[in-house]
Amino acid sequence: MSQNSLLEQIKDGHQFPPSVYEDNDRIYLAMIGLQVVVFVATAIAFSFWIYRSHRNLKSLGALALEYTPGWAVGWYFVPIASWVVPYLVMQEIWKNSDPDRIGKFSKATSLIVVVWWILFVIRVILGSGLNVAFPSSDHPSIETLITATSFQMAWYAIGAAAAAAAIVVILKIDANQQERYNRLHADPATQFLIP
Amino acid sequence: MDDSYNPYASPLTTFEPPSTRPVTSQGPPFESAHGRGMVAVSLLGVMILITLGGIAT
Repeated sequence: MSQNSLLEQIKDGHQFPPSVYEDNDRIYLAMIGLQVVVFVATAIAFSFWIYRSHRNLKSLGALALEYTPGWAVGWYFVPIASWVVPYLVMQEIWKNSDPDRIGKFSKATSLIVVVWWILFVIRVILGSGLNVAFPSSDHPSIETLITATSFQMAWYAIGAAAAAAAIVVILKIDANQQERYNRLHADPATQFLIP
Repeated sequence: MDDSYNPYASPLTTFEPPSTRPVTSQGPPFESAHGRGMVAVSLLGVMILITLGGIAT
């Protein structure tokens, strides 16, 4: 039985043995613990990927770079700036990995990067809002628990969508960088572009 | 005295315009990020599965 339906039944006056509540709490805490572990591992892997992807840009003929590979990762940890700069870094990686823009400046922004970042920011804001609106309490009302569970499910859904968008961004940039590298080495003329 | 010096030689004969500098000589050599990307993609996939599990429970 899901937590949501359990809460709805309790609200309707159903009684359950204590083991049902304990099982629900155990599953909930296990899910939270698993999420934290996987999130940290994903953040580390994502950081390594961003560093390598940005490090490749100069050798792929990038014309003007605003950021360095180290700071491409570092900006995620700078308060306030982390709301915007990591997005700009990802756009820089995207533009300078485009195999059709070798030797050209590009102002075009990637829609999937925009979608990924908006979902990511909404997830962070909603997560912070959840902690403020529903602080831990020993005796929350059943209505409060139902509302908090609904918001948490929305938070989960947005997180899943943000992760799916991140997967698309990674796969596309990886493919573009490989294609750009192949084109640079296949056509000698492209190796003599104005840097 | 250096006999090879020719004050009348055009500097253009030895001038290499910046546009001929190979792009590939800039920065570190290209190393595919595909391996690291696949690790990140796999973990993001696990995150999605856990998230969907969270919604179901």
